Amino acid sequence: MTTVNPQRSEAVTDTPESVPVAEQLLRDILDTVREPLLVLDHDLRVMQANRAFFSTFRLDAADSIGREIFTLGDGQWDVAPIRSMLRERLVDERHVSDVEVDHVFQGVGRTIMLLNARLVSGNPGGHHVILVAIEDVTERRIIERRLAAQRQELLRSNDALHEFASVASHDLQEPLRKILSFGERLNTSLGASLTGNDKQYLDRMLNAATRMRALISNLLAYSQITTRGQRFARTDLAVVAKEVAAEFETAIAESGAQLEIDILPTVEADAVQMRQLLENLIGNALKYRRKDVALVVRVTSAAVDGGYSSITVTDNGIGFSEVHAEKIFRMFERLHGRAQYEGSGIGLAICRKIVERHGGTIAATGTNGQGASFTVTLPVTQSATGQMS
Amino acid sequence: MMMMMQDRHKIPITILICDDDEDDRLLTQQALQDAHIANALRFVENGEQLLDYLHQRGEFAGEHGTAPRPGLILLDLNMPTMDGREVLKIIKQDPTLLDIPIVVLSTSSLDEDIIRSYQLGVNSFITKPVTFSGLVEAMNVLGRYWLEIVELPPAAA
Repeated sequence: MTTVNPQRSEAVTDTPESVPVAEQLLRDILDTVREPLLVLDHDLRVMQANRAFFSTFRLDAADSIGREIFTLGDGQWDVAPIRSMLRERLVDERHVSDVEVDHVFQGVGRTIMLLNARLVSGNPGGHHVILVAIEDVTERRIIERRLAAQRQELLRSNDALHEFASVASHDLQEPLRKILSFGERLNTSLGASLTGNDKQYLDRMLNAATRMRALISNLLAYSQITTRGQRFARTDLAVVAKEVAAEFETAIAESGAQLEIDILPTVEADAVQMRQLLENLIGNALKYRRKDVALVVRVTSAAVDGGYSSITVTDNGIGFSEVHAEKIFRMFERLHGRAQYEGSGIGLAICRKIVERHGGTIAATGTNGQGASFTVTLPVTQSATGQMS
Repeated sequence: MMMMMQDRHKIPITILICDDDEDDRLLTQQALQDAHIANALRFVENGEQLLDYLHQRGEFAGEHGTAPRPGLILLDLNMPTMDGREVLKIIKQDPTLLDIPIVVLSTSSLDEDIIRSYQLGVNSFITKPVTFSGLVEAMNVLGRYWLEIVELPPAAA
């Protein structure tokens, strides 16, 4: 076992006894490096290579030393990018980085590698040597390419979905408007003379068409959350909440409900969508109230670690079973029959999509028959990359 | 019963409705009727037909008495071949036609459509109400406005 001289200046001096020490040190360093490394002489013959090189490319050490790199493994290294790197670029630039080579090696298979190479002069014999470091990025590149393809596919299908939702919504509204208009006209001209079932049929038809109109316009609103969103700007949620409260003033007064709004934070957000969010959450609280209990709705807030703020809308209404806490955010998911509570099943899906667009989260907790609580957590500021407009 | 008049001599005007959709033409007609507006109505289905009507050419050639110059045009925006925006631009640049009041009656409520229409010289822009009673109400107001408040240009010589 050779001891390594800690004084490196001495290790590289040219005294007879220190040469083997330096060489052994070099060999040890080469063999310890996990990535393939190669040392070529000025004629591009292999002077040294580490174990990683021989094992990665299934080459025999004894057979390789002294041979020109392009003859290694039946000339497998004789490929254009390596040739141009060693013969041209390196001569001009003295060191090159990140030369990507995508090549099928016999017995190894397709290998994508990144090469760094450096001309080192000042050799005792006066000739330069070439250091080549090789990084095998095959797996990384394949994953990157697969991810890029998946991302592309996702963007495409997202676009198609948006387009579908918006076109379908517009085009579906047209015939519906006519069903409603002619139905209404029919109701005006025949309403008084219709009796019993006939009157009911017409009413039911018009009610169904009205529901469908609400459904389609909600679907349209959902599809436009990302496509027609406004830019994020500092938005005082207290102001937004007051506007929403004013909007529900009559409903609140009529139902004898109590709406309490705590101090709310200012966040960077799309103000229109924040209003839509609070409208849906407060509107739900007003809708799903218990008939025998005076409704109290509270809007509170809390600071959350990591630059987030949360707002919570809590009510003492009918609540829901905890097992449905995730399900209620899904599109068209409804927990109640239409006869009990009107609704399209899109409101909370809209809420979730708005919150996600802002890089936040929304969660629900509830107790059946005792109340529900919806907590929205939003970043206080938006990074530039988080913006979609 | 209301009747929109052309000028001080009170000649009832013809209302020209330009809409590609048969249902919508019928609905507008019904709404005008329900709003008790008894003016003569004529219908065309796109911008090209509208120009043919106004210039009394093509299928309207020789219809001098039966294709009277309208005193008001109700114009849809989205139509095939020549849409409302194009024909609006052509009419408002034509010195022989630009004095005919044009009211856009469209399902569109897009800002860009509204702004563009006014830039092209439209006299009013109405987004079609979604309910029939809303449409009747709009026609009611429209009728009262053009009948009781507005002085229309005298009939062209």
